[in-house]
Amino acid sequence: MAMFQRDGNSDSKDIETVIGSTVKVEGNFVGAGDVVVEGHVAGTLKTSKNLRIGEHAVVKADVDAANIIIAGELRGHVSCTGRVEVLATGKIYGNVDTQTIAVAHGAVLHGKVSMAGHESTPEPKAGK
Amino acid sequence: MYAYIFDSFLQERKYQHEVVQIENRLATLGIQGKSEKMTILKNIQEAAKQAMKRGATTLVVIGNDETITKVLPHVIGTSVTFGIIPVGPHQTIASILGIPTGVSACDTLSRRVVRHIDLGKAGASYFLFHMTAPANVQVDCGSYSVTSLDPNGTITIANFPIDGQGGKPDDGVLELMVVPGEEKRGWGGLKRRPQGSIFPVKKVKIHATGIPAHLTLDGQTTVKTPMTIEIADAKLEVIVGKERAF
Repeated sequence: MAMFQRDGNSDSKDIETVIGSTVKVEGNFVGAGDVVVEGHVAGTLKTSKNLRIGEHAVVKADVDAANIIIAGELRGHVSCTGRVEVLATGKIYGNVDTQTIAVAHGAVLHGKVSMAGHESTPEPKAGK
Repeated sequence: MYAYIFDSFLQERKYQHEVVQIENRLATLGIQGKSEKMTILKNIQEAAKQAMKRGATTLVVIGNDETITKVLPHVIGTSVTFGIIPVGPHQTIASILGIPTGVSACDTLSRRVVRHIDLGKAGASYFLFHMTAPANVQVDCGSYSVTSLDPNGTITIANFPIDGQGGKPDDGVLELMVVPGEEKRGWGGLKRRPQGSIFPVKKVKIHATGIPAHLTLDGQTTVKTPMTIEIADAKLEVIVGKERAF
């Protein structure tokens, strides 16, 4: 049995960092490739590629990535240049800055969501 | 100039025919050199050092993983090209390097495809394959630290893939792998290993709380914590085959 088996949904070829369920990472983690978190992270977590937070993961960190899938618990600010997807088991306690977001039925999202490029424009005043 | 060192276990009768075949093939290919056959009274490390002192530019060992790990520390840091002819069981290293077993390896040597392989450095010592540590150490990776929550796990810093996972030995980075121990689950006590962790790293510092922990380099050399592990500036020139794993 492989020690580093991955979730069937993820493209294992591109994954460069795996934070497994028996590991705790503290500090400012900066990765250059895809990152999968199944364990504990505290601090900040940044990657220029994709981030997946697994169902049993506990992340107490500000996260920044190109695309983010959240199936576990995340407490912190979320910055995303692409898409944030919160799965049914996902929980976010923090504000989210993203281009697009998808929130599944059953997911928990406590925070403000800001979507770049979709800011509300003030309504024109009547009579002018 | 080629130098060949045959491990002592090849003196056994069952290997003698294969050894003769190898010697004949090397002669046919025109890559014969000074051969030294080890016995239980001859030290293979000394033989390797002597061969290099005599001016060998390519050192080839004939044997298995154990033979290679015994000789390799003496080749690392020199300008000698390293080659292997795998004979006998336990040939993980040869298979990673893509070297066929037995007499076919002579043809691979003759084609002489040389790769510059990264080396790991632990203090003043080098390692080619991996460094292993107990799980009770903390790994400081610069801006962040990694701690194993499983006391039965192991921490490995690998230069070569393990179980098909990890990077290439010529990519300029090492892989920090945290491997959990197996856990028993269910009525039948079925063993299951939780997911491991992988971090690409260039330099880490390993600490242990309390008593210093022992770190093992390539299963041979032992060093103590605290220890800085990094990718070395030096590289190893090694002859590889077509079926190499990188």
